[in-house]
Amino acid sequence: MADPIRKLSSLLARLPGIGEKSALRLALAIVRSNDDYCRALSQAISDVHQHMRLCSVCCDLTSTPVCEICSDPRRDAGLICVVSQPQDRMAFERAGVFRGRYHVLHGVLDPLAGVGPNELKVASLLARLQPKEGEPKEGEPKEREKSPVREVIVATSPNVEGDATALYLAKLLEPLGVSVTRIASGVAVGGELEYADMTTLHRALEDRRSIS
Amino acid sequence: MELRRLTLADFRNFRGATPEQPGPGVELAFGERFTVLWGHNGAGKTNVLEALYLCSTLRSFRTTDAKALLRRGQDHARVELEAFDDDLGLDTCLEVRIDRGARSTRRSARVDGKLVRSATDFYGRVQAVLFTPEDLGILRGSPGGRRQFLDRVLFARQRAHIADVQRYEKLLRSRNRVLKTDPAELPRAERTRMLDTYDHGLAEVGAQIWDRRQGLVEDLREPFAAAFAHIHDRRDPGEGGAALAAGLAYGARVLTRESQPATAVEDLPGRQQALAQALRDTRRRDEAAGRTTVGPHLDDLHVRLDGVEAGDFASQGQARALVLAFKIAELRDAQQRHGRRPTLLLDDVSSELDPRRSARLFETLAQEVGQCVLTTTDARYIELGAGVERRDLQVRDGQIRVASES
Ligand SMILES: Nc1ncnc2c1ncn2[C@@H]1O[C@H](COP(=O)(O)OP(=O)(O)OP(=O)(O)O)[C@@H](O)[C@H]1O
Ligand SMILES: [Mg+2]
Ligand SMILES: [Zn+2]
Repeated sequence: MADPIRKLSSLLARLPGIGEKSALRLALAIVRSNDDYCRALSQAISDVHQHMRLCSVCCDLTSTPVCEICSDPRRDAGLICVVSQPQDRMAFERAGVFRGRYHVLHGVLDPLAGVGPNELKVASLLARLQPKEGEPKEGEPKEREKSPVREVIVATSPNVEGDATALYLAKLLEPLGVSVTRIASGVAVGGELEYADMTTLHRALEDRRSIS
Repeated sequence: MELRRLTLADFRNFRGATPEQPGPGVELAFGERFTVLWGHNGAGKTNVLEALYLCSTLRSFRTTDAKALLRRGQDHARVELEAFDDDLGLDTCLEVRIDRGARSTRRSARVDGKLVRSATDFYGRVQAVLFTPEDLGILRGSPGGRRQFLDRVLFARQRAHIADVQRYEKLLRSRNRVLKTDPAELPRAERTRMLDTYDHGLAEVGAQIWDRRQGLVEDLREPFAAAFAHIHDRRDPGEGGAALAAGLAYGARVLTRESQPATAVEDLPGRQQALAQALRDTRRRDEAAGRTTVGPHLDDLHVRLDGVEAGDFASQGQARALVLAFKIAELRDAQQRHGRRPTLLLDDVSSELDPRRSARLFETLAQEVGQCVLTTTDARYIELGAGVERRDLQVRDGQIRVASES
C-alpha cells in the first residue's frame, strides 16, 4: 500500500486553495489528532457528500429536496437574485441584505473554459420564470398570465465572464417580460463577490441597473 | 520629477557590495538636463536605461523574465533612484528589488522605504519616454507591433487602458471560440444569443480602445510632423529637395471594406455604434472564417512620408528620424497635459543619422527636452551645442565614472 500520509495529502492538495505544503501540514495534523476528531471528520465528509444535493428550485446546495429559502413563504418569490456559486448566496445571506430568493448557476459563461449555457443551471432558471397558466374558464379565452417573477438581479462578479453571463441572461429573459438588472459594481472591478463586505453588497444591490 | 542619483546593485552587469568595494553598489549622478552615457559595446549603457525604465514602469523593455535582470549567479538585485519631486518640493527615493525565491522571482517596489503593494500606485511616478533602436522595427513590422506601440503610449496617459485591452482580448477569444463551436453542439438560437452577448461587450470595450488610440494619433499628428520637419529638413543648399511631409493616421479596420457606416464616426458613442454594426454585418463571414474580422485588434497605425507608407519607403536615417519625431511629439503632448515633461531615455540615438540631421536632432532635443539620458559608443557623436548643460559618464564593464561635466 502506498504511504497513507502521502495519499491523504495528495488528496487534500486537489482542493482549491491548498498547495502541496499546506496539504502535507493538514495530513500530519490529522495523523496527530485524537480518534474522536478523526472519526467525526471522516463522518462529516461522507455525510456532506451523501446528503447534500441541489435544491430542485434554485439549485443551491441543500440537504432537503427544496431548500430553506425556497420554502420560506416570507421570502419574496417575485425577486430572484442569480449568483454563480453557493458561496456567493452565502455572502448575501450573511450580510442579510436581500429578502427575495436565489438561483445558483454553478459557474459563469466562459467558452474558453468550455462553459456554455448548457453547463450552467440556466434551464431551471427559465422554468422558474414561465407563467403559471390557470385553468381556462368555460367559454373564456385562455388568459395568458404574467411570469410570477418581476425582477431577476444578476449578481455575478464584475469581470469579463460575470458581465457576459449577465448580458446573456438579459438577452435570454427579455422576451419573457421580466426585468433583468445587474448589481452595481460597488464590488471592486475584477473583485470577487465572495469576499465583499456587507455595506458593499448592500450598496451594490441598491444601485442595480437594468442591463442594456 | 527630476532624476538625481541611481544606484545599481547586482542588476545585470553591475556589481553589488564586494569585499574590495564595500557600499551599496554602482552609483551614478544625473545631470540637470543631459546625461551622456558612453562606452564600448557591452559596457552596460542600455542596462542603465533599463534600470531607469524599471523605476518608471516596474518592467523591463528587453525581457519579461525578471531573472534575466539578476547579475549572473546572484539572487537579489536592487535599483534605487533618488529624485526631486517638484509637486511636493521634496526629495524622494524609489526602489525596485528583484528577489529570486524557491518557486519564482519577484519584483517589489518601495517609495521612501515603504513597500508599495499595488503596482499601479508605483507606475508613472517617474514619467519616462523611451527610444530604443528596436522601436525602428515597428515601421516595417506587423500592424500588431504598431498597435502595441500605441497602447504603450496610451498606458502612460491612462492606466485603465491596459485593463481594457486585456478585457477586449478575452472577449475576442471567447467570441472566436463560439464562432468555432460545432453547430451540432450549439443550437442556432443559443449561438446567436452568445454571439450577441460578446458583440455587445466587444463594441463597448473596443470603442474605448479605438477612441483612445484615435485621440492619441490626432494629438500627436502636428507635433510629430513639426519635429520630423525640423530634424529632416531638406531645404538645404546641398540637397535642394522639397520638405518631406510626415503624416500619422489611425486606420480603423471597421471603416474599410463592406461595413462602411452611414454617418461619420467621430465620438465614442458613434464608434460603439459603428463597431456594433460592423460586427453584425460581418457575422456570417466571421462564422465561415471562425474568427472575428473587424475591430481594433486589426487596426493599424499609418506612418507616412509624403503620403507613402514609411515602412516600405523610408531610408534607415529617415525611419530613425520618424520614430524620434514621434517620441518628441509624445513628450510635448505630455507636457501639455500634465505641465511636466517626462524624462527622455534615448538608447543609441545618433547612429545612422548624417552629421547635419544629427545636429538638427540635438538642436530639437535641446529645445524640447527637460531631462534626458542618452547612450552612445562615442561621446563625440553627441553634439548638444554650447551652453547646454551636460554630464558625461563613461561606462566600462559595469563600472561608471564621471568623464566630464559642463
Ligand atoms: N544578468 C546579467 N548578469 C551579468 N551580466 C549581464 C547580465 N545581463 C547582461 N549582462 C551583460 O551586460 C552587457 C550588456 O550590457 P548593455 O546591453 O547595457 O550594453 P551596451 O553598453 O548597451 O552595449 P551596446 O553599445 O552594444 O549596445 C553584456 O556584456 C552582457 O553580458
Ligand atoms: Mg546598448
Ligand atoms: Zn432553493
